[in-house]
Amino acid sequence: MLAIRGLDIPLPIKAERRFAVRGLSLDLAPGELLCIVGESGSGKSLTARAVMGLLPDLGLRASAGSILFEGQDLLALPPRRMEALRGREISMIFQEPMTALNPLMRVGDQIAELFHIHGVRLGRAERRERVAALLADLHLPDPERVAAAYPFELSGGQRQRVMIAIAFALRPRLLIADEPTTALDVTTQMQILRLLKELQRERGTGVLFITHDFGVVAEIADRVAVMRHGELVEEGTAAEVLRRPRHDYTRTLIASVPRPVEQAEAGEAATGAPVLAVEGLVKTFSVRRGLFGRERRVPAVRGVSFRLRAGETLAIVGESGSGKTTLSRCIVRLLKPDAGRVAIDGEDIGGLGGDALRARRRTIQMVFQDPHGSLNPRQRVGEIVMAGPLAHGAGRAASRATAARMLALVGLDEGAMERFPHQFSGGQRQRIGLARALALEPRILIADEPVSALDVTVQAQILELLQDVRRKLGLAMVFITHDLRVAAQVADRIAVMSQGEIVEEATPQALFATPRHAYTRALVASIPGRGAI
Amino acid sequence: MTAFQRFRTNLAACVGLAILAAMVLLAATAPLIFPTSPWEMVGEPYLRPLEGPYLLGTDMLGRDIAAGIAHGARVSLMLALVATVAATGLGILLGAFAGYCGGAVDEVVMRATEFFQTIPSFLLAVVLVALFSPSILSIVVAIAVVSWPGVARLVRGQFLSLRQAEFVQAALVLGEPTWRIIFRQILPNAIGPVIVTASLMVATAILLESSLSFLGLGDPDLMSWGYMIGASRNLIRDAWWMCTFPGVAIFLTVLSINLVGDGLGDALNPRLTA
Amino acid sequence: MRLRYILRRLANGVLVVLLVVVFNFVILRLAPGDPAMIMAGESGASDEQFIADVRRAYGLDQPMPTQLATYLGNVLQFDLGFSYRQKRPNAELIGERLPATLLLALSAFVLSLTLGVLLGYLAARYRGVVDWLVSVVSLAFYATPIFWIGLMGIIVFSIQLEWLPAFGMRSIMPVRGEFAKIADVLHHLVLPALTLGLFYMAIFARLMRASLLEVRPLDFVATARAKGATIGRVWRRHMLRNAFLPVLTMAGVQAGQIVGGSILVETVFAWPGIGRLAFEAVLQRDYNLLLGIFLVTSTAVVLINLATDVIYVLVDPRARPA
Repeated sequence: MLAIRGLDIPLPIKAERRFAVRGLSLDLAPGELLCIVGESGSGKSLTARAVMGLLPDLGLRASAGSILFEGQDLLALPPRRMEALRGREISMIFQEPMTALNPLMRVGDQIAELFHIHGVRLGRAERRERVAALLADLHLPDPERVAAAYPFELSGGQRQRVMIAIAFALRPRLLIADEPTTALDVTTQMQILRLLKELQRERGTGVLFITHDFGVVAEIADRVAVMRHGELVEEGTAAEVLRRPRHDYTRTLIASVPRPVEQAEAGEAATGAPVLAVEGLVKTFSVRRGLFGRERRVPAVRGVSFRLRAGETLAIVGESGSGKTTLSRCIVRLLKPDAGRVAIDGEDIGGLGGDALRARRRTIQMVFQDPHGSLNPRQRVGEIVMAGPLAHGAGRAASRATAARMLALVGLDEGAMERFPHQFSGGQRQRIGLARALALEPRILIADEPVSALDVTVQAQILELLQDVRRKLGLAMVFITHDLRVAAQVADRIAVMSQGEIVEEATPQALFATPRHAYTRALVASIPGRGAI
Repeated sequence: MTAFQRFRTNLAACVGLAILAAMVLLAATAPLIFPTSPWEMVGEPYLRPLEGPYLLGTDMLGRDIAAGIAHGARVSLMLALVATVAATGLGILLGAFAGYCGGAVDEVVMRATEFFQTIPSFLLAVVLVALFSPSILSIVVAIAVVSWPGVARLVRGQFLSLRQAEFVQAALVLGEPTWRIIFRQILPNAIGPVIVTASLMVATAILLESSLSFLGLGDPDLMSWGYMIGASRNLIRDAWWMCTFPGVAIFLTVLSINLVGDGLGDALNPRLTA
Repeated sequence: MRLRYILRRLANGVLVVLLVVVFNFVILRLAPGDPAMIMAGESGASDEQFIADVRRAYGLDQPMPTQLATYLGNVLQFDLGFSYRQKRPNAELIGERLPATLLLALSAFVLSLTLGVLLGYLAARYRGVVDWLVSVVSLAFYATPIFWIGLMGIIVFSIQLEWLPAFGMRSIMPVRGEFAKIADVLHHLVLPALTLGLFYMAIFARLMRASLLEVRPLDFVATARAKGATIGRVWRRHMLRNAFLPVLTMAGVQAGQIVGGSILVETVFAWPGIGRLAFEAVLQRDYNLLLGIFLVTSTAVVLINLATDVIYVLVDPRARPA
């Protein structure tokens, strides 16, 4: 049905490489689900956009090749004909459901617009019925209410369902899904994946599914194409590629998918008094709009307790809004908890302030999520890593020596000190962030989603580095993540957080084998591709 | 590419800079080129441009219009610059304070900016200058008073978002002292847009100053462009040149500053790193 | 719910007006010289007895808090004091001139907003030469003092071409018939409204263009294209409304500046509004009248702001409080 032949998409002249997509050929049969897998910069999204005829306005155009849809070359189609195909024969869903809908238009109207565009004339009542029926197909409760809502009144999962409703409304023959579940929580992701699979089977739609996650591939793909640097690396049925990958890069990608460590190494150091004890921690935010607005209280953390011993890693896992980030900010005292204790070596730092708190900070350090936002763009790397020792009274020479040592520890050479953050890749920046935290020789490290913004292969390297450093320095670590797989790979114990509380705490093995809490069970069941890879 | 290199490749900005440089040069050398006071009657009144020895003609009292424009450049540029520095200083101070402290301080400062942005600010400037009688001081104060809220809002916004930036949070966790966080972490990242706004504010200040002196609210001892236009506007039927040339001077100066400001904005755009 | 929001904005507006009243009160006492003398519009040596009368009439011999209370009470009864220069109450003088200013300012506001949005749209949509032209035009008007645009307009359209009248709001010769009267006023309105509006048109055009270019790469625009909407439909139905929101906010902010700018325009065109009255007050040192004008225009601006707030809530569902 869809045949891409020798597709070239050149990049602007100044770019690092010449082609975003180079000599790509792919086929998709009717009713088939083809996953295109790759890391950032692999050209997978541009390929999807090229099929849709919606390359971004950066002067990007296909320079060679063809995209044949049922025999006609989409690249040669005049705009009018392409517009008639879009939404009716070929439809698309995007990565970011929060921004994919027009914020000023009711959801129902945005669905109905599709009928209007493609000349399906419907009466008012008929249109309402069609829209409601479409939403009901997607298991959205109370479709009438959803149709009357504005996008901002819906959750991310609901919005993505609305996007899918639009995509399937006119029964297209081809659906392009560009990382449609990446921005969603895992439990929602699983629901959306199942829904897509169900609709695809029911209606015989061909689906081109773009993803970076081999877990997702294992969950839904009929066939897989792996892309790297704009070129096709490997292609085959899902079973073939997952079980017997032929290409090295595919093997690396699959091996990089985080998974529970088989042999537990817990218990080696987890004895003795806890270095960090959190007891009954509570944090509530009060939100007020304007001078005369009414105050609203939003509980974020509701009575959390846990203990951490030297050399031990505790992972805190939760979906967005579970309170895990607030918890981490309270532990390092970026936020002041409303109640409860945060004790380091038995001393409560919750009540400390001023210089006493500043002095205590050297024992507990943090690694942040965003490799771009966590380093000051106007400071040199040396300056950034030296900041800690300098703030705690070390001389410049001593601080510089420490910084050099720490950079070496995280695998960067001394030359890095003279350069600025933007001269490094995402993974290297996370290394710099780690070196900055380690320069104070802390005993506790709080890692807040340190790998979630990274490509899987880089993610694997950073996780390995963290483990390595932790072992060498005997650090205790709290690892905050939304990904149960990552948690299982790094942690001795996992605490599952939901709605501001820890609902279950167990070793990874126990958690996966016999999850006790209903929420944990849902979480474990939602791991994409579980058992397949 | 550095910010300077980016600025240099921007043709409009360079043209602007050239015009501005010419104006500054004119202002600096006015006493050399036109040693006699611009208030002095030097020739016959109502001389058209090039009719007598005077390039741009004379006004109704026989004063040299070109001399007036040159000396007016001193006044306009100086007043605008001083007022901008005052307004920017006040704006940065209050904006940073509000953005860093938050809470009640923020509320009060934001209400104040809202107040100043709601009321007709030109009328406020007129009231202030009129009641405190026109002088360099009252004009500068009036312009600064109506101009600071924009800077304050900008700086506050920058501080609020930068406070949440992970590198600032990291500095807090490291235990860096507050002054260091403000001056080494936040301010260097906030200053770009402030420079751009301040440079554009010089242009607005020139417009404000000339409007005030057009209404007769200029410093009575200083020759200014707005005064020249205001004094001759009733003679427009017979002597178009008297109010045309000072207006051209205002236009060119304000335009050039806007071009330079826009160019700075593009050059300092932080999206360069990607 | 929406009513609550509007009431809250209204309370805000009342606060602004009250602050202006207090400002007026304070500034009169901070200004150099005797408040009674300032109120009487006198300077230097004047009749002692007269000044004493003024002082008593305004309670200036009372303690400060009493004075403020009296002043507030007077303002609430629309009593803005007496103009000793014009020998009439200030409120009456202002009330008489207000309609002319409102006509001028509102025409300029509507004109600048429509033209600005249109030009910004054309520039962003068609780029190339159109974009360049719009940029040049808006840069030029943004850099020109409005009183000078007015004077140049008079030279070109009144003196050279003799198309449009240069002064006043009505012809000196009486005009017969209602329609003819309206047409006469409109004829006089063209130059002043254009003069006042062009500067703000430049601001709105620049902002609209930038805002559209910011909206263009957003995801929902791609969604609309993916639905098969034509480029024209995407611009008109999806981008325009979203890009208009920042312009609307700016329009609210500029409302006050447009009213303030009317002093200059009314002075140039001898337009019989309160701007012209303010200029006369400055010339005659009739400061109490000037402060009254300041209060009245501030109130008008607060009302305009309230209107833009309401429009904003109507356009953007997210601004509606839940």
